[in-house]
Amino acid sequence: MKKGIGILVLLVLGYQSVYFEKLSTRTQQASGVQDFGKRVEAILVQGVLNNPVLTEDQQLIKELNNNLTNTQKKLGNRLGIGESAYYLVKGKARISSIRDGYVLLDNGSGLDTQFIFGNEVRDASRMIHLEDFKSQKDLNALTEALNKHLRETKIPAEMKGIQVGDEISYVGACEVAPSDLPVTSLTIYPVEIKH
Amino acid sequence: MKYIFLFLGLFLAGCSSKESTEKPKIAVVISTLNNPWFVVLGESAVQQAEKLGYEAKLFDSQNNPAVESDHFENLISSGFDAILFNPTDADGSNANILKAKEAGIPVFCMDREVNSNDAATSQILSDNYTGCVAIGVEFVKQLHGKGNYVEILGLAGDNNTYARSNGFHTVVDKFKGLKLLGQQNGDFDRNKAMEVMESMMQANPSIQGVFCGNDAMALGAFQAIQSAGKSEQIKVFGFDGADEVVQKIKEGKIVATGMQYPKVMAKTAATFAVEFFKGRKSFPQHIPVGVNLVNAKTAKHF
Repeated sequence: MKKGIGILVLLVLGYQSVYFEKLSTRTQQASGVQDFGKRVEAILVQGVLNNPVLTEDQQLIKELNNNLTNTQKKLGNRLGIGESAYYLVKGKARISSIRDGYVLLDNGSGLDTQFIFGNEVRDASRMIHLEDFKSQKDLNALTEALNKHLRETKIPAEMKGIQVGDEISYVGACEVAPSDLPVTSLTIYPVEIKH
Repeated sequence: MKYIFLFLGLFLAGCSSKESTEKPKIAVVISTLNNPWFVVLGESAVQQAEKLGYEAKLFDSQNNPAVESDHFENLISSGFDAILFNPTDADGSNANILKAKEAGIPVFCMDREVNSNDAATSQILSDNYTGCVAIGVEFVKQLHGKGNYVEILGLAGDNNTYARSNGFHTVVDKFKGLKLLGQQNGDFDRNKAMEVMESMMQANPSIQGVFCGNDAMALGAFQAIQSAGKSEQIKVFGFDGADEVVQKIKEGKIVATGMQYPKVMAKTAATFAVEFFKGRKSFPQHIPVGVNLVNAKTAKHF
């Protein structure tokens, strides 16, 4: 009886002394992957779709060519240091062609639905501040979570059924550097595409 | 007694007057001055500090954490007021930063990140990750999303090596037609990268692309590829923005690199130190400095 109780106590102590965790959770933590779901949603809704600096693409092109420095201050944003800035744009146009995920529009600009990997949407949204992140790794993880959601879920769903010749409305972000002047068209990384 | 107080008063006034007229001194501690890129970083930091009206002195750690540690001991005891710092080791250099912090000396890291979120006053770093995301996009476009490739990494355990490789793979790994055949360290060294590329080409004759973690290695890899007569078959990608690589991009021999800005990092660090002297105490822990893609289309701007 005493031996049985002793074994039971040892088993309980043994169980309490270790902590079990799913391997997938552990792998996620080790690779710095975090759940950014709410933050991504806030960036897209507040930071992009309802942002008052959202500008019609033709108007943005006009302002950039007219006075880049003022337009950067008024409509552009970027985290950290660099000569280019990121802008929020919206517009309506007819699709001229779709090739390798690049949707060419009849106004000369294009929607790049395949290579949504950069800082365009994150920085243009003005929702992210460097002071909120203790490491570059955390900031990069958020950027990739945001881009992945757009690239693999939201935009593919909105592109379903859309064909060459269709008229669409779109919202997205783009990057413009001084070396891009004069700007004649924009490469836009889409956040929303409506048929 | 009255004269003793008068003497003490004059002595103290003299001391405070000396302190107020002495300008703060800035130390620039660089991991190695054997590499031209770091020479530009170090000399630019000294020039910027002097331009802002402060005395500045350059220290070479010779890629040796022990030498770096000696520099910190010496410059703390010799009364330097700020350190613009390019660390030798992401973990090992933290102890030095903390020693300076304890002595009330701010440390501004340049280019190389340390693994601590609250040791340095601020870290001004190239946005290696995003720069290599752009290289990754260019890589996929140039190889049309399919083919065999290899990667020559920098130094094992170095944060920049990790950030660059991670940024590149964030893009490239999404394209299942691209197969990674080999991944080896070239230690940011041209000769070692040349040897690594030679052995990888012997093991895998069907390589179509190579991504190198810096331009010195890209030049070494290109040399090996050229000697093997495979420059038409294998596309080379680097990172740094070295003049020689930009020239080779213009000549169509190397496909792309990421342009870093050591002078911008140095200027920002020096400006931060001066702002600290003037009373600013809050700085973002990390400041990313943009990296520009240099390819056949954009090379004319660099």
